[in-house]
Order: sequence, then C-alpha cells, then structure tokens
Amino acid sequence: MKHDYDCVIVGGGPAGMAAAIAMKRLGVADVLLLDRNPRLGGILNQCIHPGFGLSRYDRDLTGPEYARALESEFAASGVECLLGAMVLEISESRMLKVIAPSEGFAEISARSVIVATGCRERTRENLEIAGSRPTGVFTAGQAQNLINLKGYRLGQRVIIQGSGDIGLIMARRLTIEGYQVVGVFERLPYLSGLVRNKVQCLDHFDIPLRFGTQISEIVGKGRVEGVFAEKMDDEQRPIAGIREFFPCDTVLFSVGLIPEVDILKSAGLVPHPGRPIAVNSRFETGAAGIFMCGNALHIHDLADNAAKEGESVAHHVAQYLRSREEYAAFVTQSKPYRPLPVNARFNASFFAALEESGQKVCIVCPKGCAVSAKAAPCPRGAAYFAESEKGRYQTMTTTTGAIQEGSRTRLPIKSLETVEVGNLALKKKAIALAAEERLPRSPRGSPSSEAQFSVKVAGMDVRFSICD
Amino acid sequence: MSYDILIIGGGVIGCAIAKELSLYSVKVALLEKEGDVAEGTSKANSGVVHAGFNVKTGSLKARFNIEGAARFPSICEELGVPYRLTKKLVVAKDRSELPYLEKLLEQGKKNGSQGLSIIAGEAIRSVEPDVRGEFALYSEKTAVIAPAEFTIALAEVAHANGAEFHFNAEVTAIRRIGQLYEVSTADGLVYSATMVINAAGLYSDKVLSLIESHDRSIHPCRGEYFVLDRVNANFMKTAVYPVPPADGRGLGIHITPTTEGNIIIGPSAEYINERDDLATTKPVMETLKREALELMPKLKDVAFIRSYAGIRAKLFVAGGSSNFEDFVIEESRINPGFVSLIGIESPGLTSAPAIAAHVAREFVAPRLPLIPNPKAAATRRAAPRIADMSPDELARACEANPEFAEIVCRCNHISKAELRAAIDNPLGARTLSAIKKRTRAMMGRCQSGFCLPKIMETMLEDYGMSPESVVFNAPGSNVVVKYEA
Repeated sequence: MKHDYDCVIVGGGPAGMAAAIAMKRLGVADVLLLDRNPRLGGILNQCIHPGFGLSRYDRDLTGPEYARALESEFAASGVECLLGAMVLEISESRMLKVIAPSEGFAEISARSVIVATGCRERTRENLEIAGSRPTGVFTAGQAQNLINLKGYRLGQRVIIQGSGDIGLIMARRLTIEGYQVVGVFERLPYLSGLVRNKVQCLDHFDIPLRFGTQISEIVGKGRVEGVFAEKMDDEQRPIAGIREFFPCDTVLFSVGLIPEVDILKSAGLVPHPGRPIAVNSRFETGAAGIFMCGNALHIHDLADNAAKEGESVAHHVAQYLRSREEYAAFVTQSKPYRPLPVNARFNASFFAALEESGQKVCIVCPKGCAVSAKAAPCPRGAAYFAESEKGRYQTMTTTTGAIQEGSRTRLPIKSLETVEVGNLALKKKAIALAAEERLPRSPRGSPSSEAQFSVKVAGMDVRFSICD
Repeated sequence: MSYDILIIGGGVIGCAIAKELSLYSVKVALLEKEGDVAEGTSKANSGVVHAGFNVKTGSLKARFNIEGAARFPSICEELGVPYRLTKKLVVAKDRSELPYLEKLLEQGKKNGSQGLSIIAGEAIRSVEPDVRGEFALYSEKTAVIAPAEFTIALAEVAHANGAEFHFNAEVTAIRRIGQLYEVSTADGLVYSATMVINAAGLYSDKVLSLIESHDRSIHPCRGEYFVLDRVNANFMKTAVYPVPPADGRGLGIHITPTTEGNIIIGPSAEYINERDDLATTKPVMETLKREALELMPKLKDVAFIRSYAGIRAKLFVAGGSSNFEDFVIEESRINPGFVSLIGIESPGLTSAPAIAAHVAREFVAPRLPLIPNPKAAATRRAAPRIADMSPDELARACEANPEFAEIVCRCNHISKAELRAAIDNPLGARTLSAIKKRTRAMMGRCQSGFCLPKIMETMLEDYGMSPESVVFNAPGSNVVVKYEA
C-alpha cells in the first residue's frame, strides 16, 4: 500500500462507495477507500429488509443486495480499498493515522479526504431515562446486528421506544423471529417513520402503536423486568400521574441517529452536541480539503440519497483536485443540504379518519398514498386496495438462515413469492427453521446465492433465495 | 480449604489489605460475592484522592486520609495505573459562604493537609476559567485516579504474590471452632482460617452479625452521577466542588475530570432502603445538571453520555450523632482474630493504602508472624493500550501482534489484543463488567452499540462460551438468551 493519495475516503457504506465509484468515473484514479469492517457495505449488511435501491438501480433490493450491487460497481472501478482499517486520527493537514491487521500502523497523507463514516444511534442514556441498568436494553440497530448477523436470540417480550423506520422495521423483524412485541411507543403525537412502514410493519402484525408515550424508567436487577411509561401532552411534557408499568424482558430504543464524526476532532473540528459539522456549499469542512457526505454529515432517509450525496461530493473533490481556482469560484457558505422535514400530519386522528372513511394507506411504494375503492392515484394503488379488501395481506418476506447446521452465522434470505401475513406471523419459526435445514450449499460448502429452495409455510411451498 | 487469613469483600479496602498481606508469608484468600473485584462502591465513586481538609480533626478518617494520600503517587506508579494531579477548587458563590471555606482551611491545616489557600475572583478564573463563584479554597494536592482499575491492580498484585480470589462466594455463615473460623459461602464451600477480616463495605454490618450481635448498622446512601463525553471536555482541568451541604451526607454535587479525560458530575446523596438499588432517578438527574451548569455553564457544550449510581456505606451507631461517624476498624472483643472495617465511606478510597498497612500492623502482626515473602513483588505492569501509545510504539506493537491493529471499541480505541488481555485476566473474572473495567470498552459515547457484538463474538469463538453464559456481572444478567428453535 502507498502512503500518499489524491483522495482518501473514510467509510465504505453507500455514501463512501458511491463517492469512490464516481471519483474513478471523473478521472481521479489515485483514491483509497478505508473501512473498519471486514467487508464493505456498512450498516446495509444488517438491514435484511427490502426497500433499497429504487432510485439507483430501479429495483427493490434488500440492504445486503444493495451493498453487493454497489460493491460490484466498486470492484469494477478498480479503486484501492483497505478493509479492517480504523482511522484513529485525521490531522488538519490531512495526515491520517490508520491501523489495520493486514498493514499494522500506517500514516497516510491525502490531498483530499472524504469523511463518510455514517452515524451511531442515540441511546437510552442520551435520553436520560431513569431507573436501573439491567441487560436486555439495546438500541434498535444493535439488536438488528445481534439478530441478523450474529444469530443471537435477545429475549421474548419486547417494548420498542421510537416510531422511526428502524423501530418499525425491527418490530416486524422480531415478530417474524417469534418474539412478542408488546408495543411501539412514540413520544411525539405523530409517527416518525414512513406511513407505509406503520402499515406493513405494525398494522399487518397487530402490533400496537402508542403516541405520546415515553419510557420514563427501566426496572430490573439482572435482566430488564419491565418499564414504566409516561403519557406526554402535546408539548411533550409528561402528564403528571399517568404512569403505567409494562413487563418485558427486552427493550429496544430507536430514538434517532447521531453523525459519527469523532475522527474530525483531531482536525480541529468539534461539533456542538446535537449540531452537525459545518460545511460550505461544496461539502468542504472548515479544514481545507476535508469533505463530508452521507449520514456523517446529516441523517438521510434513504441509502439511495446518501449514495447520491457521495456522488455529488466526488464531483466537488475532483474539481478541487483539478483546479483550486475553478473550485473556489463556486464556493458559498450556504448549506448544500436540507435537514429531513418533520411531518406531523400522521397522528392518531389521521389514522382514525382514514379508517372511518374506508381508505387505506398503499404500501406499494414509499409515497404511502391513501387509496379507496373510488380513488387511487395509480393502477398499482388500485390493485393494492382491491387485494387488501380481501383482508389477507400478501407480502414478500425476509429472514435469516443458518450458514451451516448448528452454526449461528446467518445469511439473509428472501421469499420469491408472496406469503400471507397471518401465516408469516404464525409460522415464523417454521420459516427460519426450515430455511436452516434446507439452505442449499455449493460444492465448496458455502451457500450459493443463485440457489432457490422451498420452505413450507402453512402447508404451501414458498420459494426462497439468499439475498446477500 | 484452610488459610491464615480470610478477607471478606473485594472492594478497594479488601484488595488493599490482600495486597499488603501478600507481601508477607501468610496464606490469604479473599471471598467476593460478585463475579469480580470492584463491583460495588469501589467502581462507582468520584475517584478523588482527597487532600484531607474535609474530615474532622483527630478522627481516623483524617489520619488515614492524610497518610493514604501521601502514598498514592508512588503506589499508582508501582501498580501501573493513572494518577492525575487535577487539584481542586471548593467554590463559594458569594461572601456569605466564605466562612465555610475558612473553616475548611483551618481544619485542613490542623489535619496536616498541604497546599491549601483561599483565592478570589480572577485568581479562580486563572485556575479554571469557566467557574462561577467569588471565593474558592484551592487545594493543590487533590488528585484523581481510576478507582476500579486501582482496585483491580491491587488484587492482581496480591494474586501474583499468591493470594487467592474466590468470586461468586457470598458469605452465608461464620462459626468459630476453637482457634479457627469456618466461613461458609452460598455455593456450599467452607473456608477456614485463623483470622477473618470483614471488609464487606455495604454489607459489613451484616457480616459481623453472622458471628455476634452488635449495635452498628449501615444505611445505604445513594449518589447519582452523570458522565460526560471526552469530546469538548478538555477545557476543564481542575476538580470543582461547591461548599458542602450542612447535612453531612456528602461533599455536594461536584464536577470532576477523570483520568480518561471525561468529566463526571455528582454525586447526589439520598438515603435509600435497599443496598443494591442502583437506579438513577429523574429529579436527581435534573438537579445534578442544574447545579453543575450553575457552577460551570460551559458544560452545556459537552455531551452527557451516561448516568449511574454508587452507594455510600453510611454508618449509624445506636445513640451516636446522626451526621458524623468515624471509620470503625477494630477486632472483636469476644471473637479474637475477627477484624471488622465498618463505615468506610469517603475518604475510604484515599485512606485504603493507609488502612491496609494499619490492619497488617495493628491486628495481623500480633497474631501471625509477618515475615516478608522473598518472592513477593509490589509492582505490576499494566496491559498495553493502543490509546496510550506513541506512533512508534503503536507501529511496533502492531508488528509484533496484529491484534493491536484490530479495533474492537471505536469510541475509546480499544484493540482486540487489549480485549484478550482483559478476558484472560489473572483473577479469572470473565464477565462483560470485568472487560469494561479493564479495557474501558463499552464506556464510550455509543455505550456498547458497536463493540458489544464484537466482544461477544470473541468470548464465544475464542473462549468457547455459550451465548447465554455471557453476563454483565451477576448470574441472571445475561445479554442474550438460549436459542430454542
């Protein structure tokens, strides 16, 4: 490995990989991508649910499939990559201190740096929730990692705080894995995630959602034994005296994401808690030549958008490297991005009115339109309404299968045909189990991604394939 | 199993005594009810090495505080643990609180506390720019240490010198048979010894009750803390205390920089019913924040990453005064060779080295010949940490062992090699809490979000543990459950 590059990209998630691919296309060849994990893809690898890639690939992919698609574009680009690499420091003059098992300690100098280090999750501690500190309390993404990648079982009876998309998706995921999700609590009077996810992740599995509800205290000495929840008024202040105890052995917090920018401290850039690092109109930070994109800069709703931002940053960096004058001519201090809008529309009365009027929320695409027998904005929406009126929701599903019998190492699998939701919830264990038994293997012993195999779900054969 | 001396309790006092006695040719075993040393008060306190002005003149507290503090710099060096001379300001908001500072100064001088002066106005700001307050008692000898790490280091030295450590060994019965004590533990084992040293901290009164009736009782007094991130925290160098509240429960909610560069705020002081009730409470958390921000407004720029509670072992004696009880360190009158240490609250950590020497000299030496053990060493080499290495050291370490280049904890920069050293600790404590205290993994801003899966994977793959056997500390604190298909 060399020790100086035109550009070093830190982080191999969607933003970092897309930036690397674009850099190569723009003629910047001297690029190194660093990622601390043993494989590229970042958090996408643990997001085994579908819904990725609609704009970049015009297909509905699972997280791992989306990661592999980006990874093959990246491999074709020929950009150099070092995995298992942790950046300990970036200096103001763009000297990176890096460790990696394959290289040991290395100092790498870069003419430009793109920080695409993603984000971390807000924890129970960040919310300053009182009570004891038993085990069984996880952040939603941590739980997703432990279940989907490591094959652990966390517990049985779960409460989820936070109605963001990760919380909703984990509610469904846990139900498919055979957990009992007691409820999803949302501090605000309205939904944080997509309406579509409320419908397909909660409603279809009869998981209750409570608005204006916040865990105020965690109880338990060894494992968590339950939580007290408070009712909040419309200004999100607890209403005195309304406190309810919910027994559970597992609590998940899905209460927001925080950009992971710790390595910028050594470059003299320190964010105020809760505020993003400032960048100019071309995504350059206050340290010359250090750029940012993806969730490290601000939280994105879709991986596609993080990837798109990676591409834009690549354009700016390519120009920065080509001609500092040309680059500087188009710099302003205005923010190049807009924070995600808050949509307070989807509150309890919205859902009540919807039900009263006989309308349904279409889940075919992320728009989440209201559809009825009389009106639907598109034919697919009309078809969805007709199908859903039968009361039996059909859905594709994803779960995991053991890589070998008796092994905890999992691979994500997805159904190639629709399954009735009711059956999914009832036969959840059977799916996971049957998949484990029947996961096909290539002659080398590792499962083949092309292989299809069928699993009996409520007496019906459903075809599955590996989606990684 | 028969010994010369059994120590009950693996807190800083028990471990300091074990280390002290391990330098002599006596057979020592320590019994601890939890899965590791430093699982109670010794891991949840401010970590301050006090200069000795807060304690009543003429008391054991004053004597051992002054003696202990003097020993700390050299002991920390011997043990390979951090010692940070932060110094300390006790801040008076206005002139009305000045008499308290004068009283403290006078008391400190009488106790033999060095480096004390009262400063005012800009002189305070030149020590700690953001502090609000008109007057301050400035103590140039106050320091901080990492209390759990210090306790572990004491235990490891004792262990290397031959002392035995038995974990998950809660003492349930003690009998005296002639010259011997028989101590039974919850796991059904019986230990016998000539001497018993009761250093059971919060449970020291209960342990004494196992052999005789007495009039002392421990009242648990909970202190809640906030931990702040290291990012943005380096503006603060000095421990900052308010004038202590008059009720004698504690030293007031103070702001203390830690050896790791974090800041801690606390502790509160609240009498509670259960000795293991470590819950934090909303009203106290809000008070901590408010009072700390009043003292130092700039703390608002630092992220609050965790709160926790510790419990003081407050001693009450029937008929005694309600707000000051001295340390009780004494041999039973009816059970010779049974020594109890009761009510060792603040400044217990500071006093620990002096208390250990006192126990060896005053109680053990008259009963057992303390012949120096020629093989014993008082020093320990700490496990290497990549976060403390220079680039050259890091390069060499990674070349010698690539696991130093494999990151486990991204917040605090802990490598796989450090994780292994912690799991392979000489005391044989194999819990997440043991790893946390030894490596500082899981203590950072992500609060184990990223490192927990990696730590568990290492415990399973490299140490053959089952997923459900990975516990935080006590049995029942498992992270995941058994997978039933």
